[in-house]
Amino acid sequence: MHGSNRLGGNSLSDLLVFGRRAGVGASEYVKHNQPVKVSESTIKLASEKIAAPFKRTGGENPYTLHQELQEITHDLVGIIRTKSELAGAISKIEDIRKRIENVSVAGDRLFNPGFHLSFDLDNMLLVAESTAKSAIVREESRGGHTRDDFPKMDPKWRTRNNIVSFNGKEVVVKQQPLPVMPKELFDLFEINELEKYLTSDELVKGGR
Amino acid sequence: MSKKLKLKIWRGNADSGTLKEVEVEANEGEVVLDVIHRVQATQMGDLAVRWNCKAGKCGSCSMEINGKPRLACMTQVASFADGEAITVTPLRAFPVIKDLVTDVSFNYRKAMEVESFTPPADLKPGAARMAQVDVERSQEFRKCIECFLCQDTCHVIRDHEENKKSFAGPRFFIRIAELDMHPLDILKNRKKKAQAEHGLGMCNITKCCTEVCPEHIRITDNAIIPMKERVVDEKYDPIRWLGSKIRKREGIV
Repeated sequence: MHGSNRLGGNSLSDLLVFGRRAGVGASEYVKHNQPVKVSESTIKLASEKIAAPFKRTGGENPYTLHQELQEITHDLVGIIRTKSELAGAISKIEDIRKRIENVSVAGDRLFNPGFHLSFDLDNMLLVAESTAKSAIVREESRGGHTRDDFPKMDPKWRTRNNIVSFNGKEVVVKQQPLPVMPKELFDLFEINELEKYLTSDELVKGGR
Repeated sequence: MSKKLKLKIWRGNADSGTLKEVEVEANEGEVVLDVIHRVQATQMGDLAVRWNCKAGKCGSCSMEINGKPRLACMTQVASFADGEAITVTPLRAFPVIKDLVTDVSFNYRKAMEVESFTPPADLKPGAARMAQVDVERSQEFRKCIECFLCQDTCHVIRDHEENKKSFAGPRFFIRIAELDMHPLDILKNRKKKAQAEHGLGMCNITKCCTEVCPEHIRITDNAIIPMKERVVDEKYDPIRWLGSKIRKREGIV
């Protein structure tokens, strides 16, 4: 939707466009599908998992892990990135993933921020790992992603996206080709704008 | 440069609670919300506190600091004397959920009772132009961040649970005033309803709401008093009263 990422300004258009698409999609899906059947054992497993930190004592403090994760991503997956730092971040994130298995929280379920953080950590970790692992394979600089070791934009990265998925143990990154820009869209851009991003081959293919 | 700070935090739930004293590190330039977060991260993992923007614009971290309704994110630790204990308690006018978090749904119910902006039905988008002076007049009230500190400090609500039914509170008087002065709003009885349904007359202009407002909205001077004046002007003027009886004119315009 944005081409090269422009950070802050993207969030508003992202949430409007993709929020609507997600909502419309969800409502269509519900209309054409039966309610999902979830087995009792799955529910039991999920509720045990979420309640587990209450049962542990003397385990990891969720706030400490949160802060450490913030420091790792701030220091090593920040604005200017390099391979060695990203690799360091990935291995540190791996360590944190092991440590969150041992989080313990005090109190009960009522408005308990420590408890909320204990299961938010899972998602934070997922985002941090996805960011670091996509950043290390993208060996170029583009938009909000700046690699100190690869300061130039690389045209071959313009034709594909990084797709991340979680296999139950860790985040896996693979590449997926981007659709070619349709002619009618291509024609809307001024030539000097296109030249910034496209190779001369692509310009010729597009008829310019 | 950091120093040790004594903090008393109210901990409890809807049934009971007590002040817990803690000692916590405070760094230069920090606000009360920062040290509350430090207590939460290091000593009281389950301490409940509502917060969001940390910039005084979301209105979430309303609480009472040394008895005064304040935003915790806008209250500098340095504004208290060295060695002075800082006491934080939940908003007293609303029921406690847990620790520093209260149930402010009273305010949302009151918000629903205020009739929404009503432009003429046949007004097309873009057809109306608003004069700059009209924009500026209501702009002050639109600065409200709904922190509900004014609602909390207002003694009509704070000290009299029974008034909650018939009194909307300062936040909603500025809302009514804003709609009332909107040139495109066609509802004619907003002031009359403010008096009859929202309890405008119960306010006795102690200006506490204005004093606690983090957006410095002059709630009393610019919304409540002008509305009160117009209500009185219509309601207690014998000639207008007689006129309304004879011509059956509907209420205060």
